[in-house]
Amino acid sequence: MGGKRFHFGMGLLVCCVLLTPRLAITPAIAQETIKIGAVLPLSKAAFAEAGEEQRRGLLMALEEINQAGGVLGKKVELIIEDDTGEPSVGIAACEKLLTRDKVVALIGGYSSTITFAQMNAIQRLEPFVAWVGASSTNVEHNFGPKRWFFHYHPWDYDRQSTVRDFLLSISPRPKTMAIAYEDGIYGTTSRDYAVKYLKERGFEIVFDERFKSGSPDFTPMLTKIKMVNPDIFYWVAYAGDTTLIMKQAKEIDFNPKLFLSVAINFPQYKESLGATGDYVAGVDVWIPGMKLPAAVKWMERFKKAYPGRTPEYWAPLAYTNLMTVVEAIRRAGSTDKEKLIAAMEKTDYDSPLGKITFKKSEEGGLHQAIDELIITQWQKGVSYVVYPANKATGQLIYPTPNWKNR
Amino acid sequence: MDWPSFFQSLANGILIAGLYAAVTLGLTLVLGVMGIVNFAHGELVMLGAYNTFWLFALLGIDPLLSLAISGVLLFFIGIGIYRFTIRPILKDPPLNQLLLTLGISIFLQNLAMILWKTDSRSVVTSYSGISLHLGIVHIGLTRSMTFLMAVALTILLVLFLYKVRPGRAMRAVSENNTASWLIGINVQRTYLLAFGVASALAGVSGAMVSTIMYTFPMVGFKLSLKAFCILVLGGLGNIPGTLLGSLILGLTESFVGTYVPEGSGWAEGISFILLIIILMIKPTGLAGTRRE
Repeated sequence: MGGKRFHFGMGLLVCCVLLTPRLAITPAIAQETIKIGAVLPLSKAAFAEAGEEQRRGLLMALEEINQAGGVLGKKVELIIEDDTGEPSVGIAACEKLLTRDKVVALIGGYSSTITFAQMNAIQRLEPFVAWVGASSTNVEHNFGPKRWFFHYHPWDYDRQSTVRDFLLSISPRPKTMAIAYEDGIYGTTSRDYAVKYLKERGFEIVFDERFKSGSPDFTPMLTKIKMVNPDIFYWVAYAGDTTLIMKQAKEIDFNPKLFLSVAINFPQYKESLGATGDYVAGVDVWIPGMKLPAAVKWMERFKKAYPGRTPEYWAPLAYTNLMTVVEAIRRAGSTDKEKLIAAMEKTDYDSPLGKITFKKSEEGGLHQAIDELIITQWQKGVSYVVYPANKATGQLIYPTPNWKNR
Repeated sequence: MDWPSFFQSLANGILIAGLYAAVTLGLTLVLGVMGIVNFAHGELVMLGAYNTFWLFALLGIDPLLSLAISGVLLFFIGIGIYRFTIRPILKDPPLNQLLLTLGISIFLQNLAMILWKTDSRSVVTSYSGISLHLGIVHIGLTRSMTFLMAVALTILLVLFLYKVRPGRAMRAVSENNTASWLIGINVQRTYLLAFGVASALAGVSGAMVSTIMYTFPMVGFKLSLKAFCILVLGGLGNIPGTLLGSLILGLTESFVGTYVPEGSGWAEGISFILLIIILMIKPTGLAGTRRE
């Protein structure tokens, strides 16, 4: 019996070891490479979708870079670490990459909470950081002013100011809004900026409450919002919540003039909601249907690399992340940190997300890549850019038809 | 009083209670018969949900049909889990059993993440999203079907436990396993069957989850939190208690969510506040009796 238990225990241990993500993408001879380290959330459920998407983008960029001979005559070695959605693990991953692997640049990132903990821990080393993730201004206020910190993802207020400007552009102008948000730092910070910006411009907030992400039932909340009958229902949530909110809004026949959310162009949106997902608008960084020439070309390459998959914006963002860093190394002619920072500041890269340069941000950041967002709307299963006008690929349908008339 | 909203909340609460009950039934059975708290139950629900999703996505099989397939598949997976992991430690202290099922739960979650990634997926059929208008109340067709299915499952389980010999054996074993063994009941086989049936129930409720919610490696874990709450609320391991517990939890969540400011933010909080209050009033749970 004891022997059996031992074998079972060993079996379980072996399975666990086999299943632990081991992610270094290592060329044969380690000395002849330029090492870049990425920290991504690959195993925490709510974050891993974005982490996986980033990995796809990074691997695509890596392959292109190394196929073209690498940089400074050396291959690029990308070491990917999983932060598992835990700040402590994220810190350990950064420390390991910087001190043991001696990477020349730290890239990737996703959660604001983890980013804050990581940057706090490694700032003593003043490493070269080109960070994709984190949208909380908490990160911007503390690390944005650091010379070594370069940031790509728009900050929270960029998203909310885009929402405000979009709502102001609608005719007839909506008056009342219901705002629901997930109760993490992502939802609460977004909500704070949204309420501030919208109240400033005279919108009346008739509902303003948080919810628990991952809840199996949103009908109580939706019933409550239906009672106050807002023009716009705006919610900040993760993918699964959005799926359920839309299904249940239809079930209880809740009909605001517009359903508006954040990041609704995730890969499973269409399959998960079908026609129920139509007419929903959302603020986003990028969608595969963008008409930018670089985006069209990038999409062709992505489709070849990952057949049958529709990318989320994290893939081109991560792709751009690695590409711009390698570009800067090429222009600097060295991996020396100071030269790299100087070269990175002069970045002018034609990315699938548009032209990338590093500018000062509104609340104190020195190097911010993206501050312009788009509003998209699903129409008959296709996502169109409906705002701003210069990027639009379709016309906003407003007010949204009632569920009965669809 | 805004009556339409009141009745809508009532309907919402009853419908979600159906799902809660379906998820909790299997957990109740394993605890009642074997005295084991199965932390991996939520993950069995998740496997049922993925099975339904993949059968629908790859072969176009309707969830109503794959409900049965999920049940049968999970029955055998459950038997495998019991035979190879739980049986060897049945006589060990309860803490070992808790740790084992917790380990299986984490293992299955990670396995699902690696195999199917963390995209949240959903089954969309021709009838999903249809809303029934009953006077002033709107209820979703799939959620109503889930509710009816949960009622049917409960009736079937009760019939099985009271009318069929293996079911009666389960009740005997749950009363006293040594005495059951003395009168010739094969206790090991009864345990095996109970775990299999509980897993089958998890599989069927997983199929419901994939249609009315979404499929995601963590979906079972979140639901099992509520299920554990219902389990204790109802009085550990009895079926009427499970139903009552589900109904109370569903209705409380619904009314608090609708009528209390910031109510939706309390989702998980409510379950446990309710639990604490009820345990303070009746320490054995609502329908529980003290076990010696």
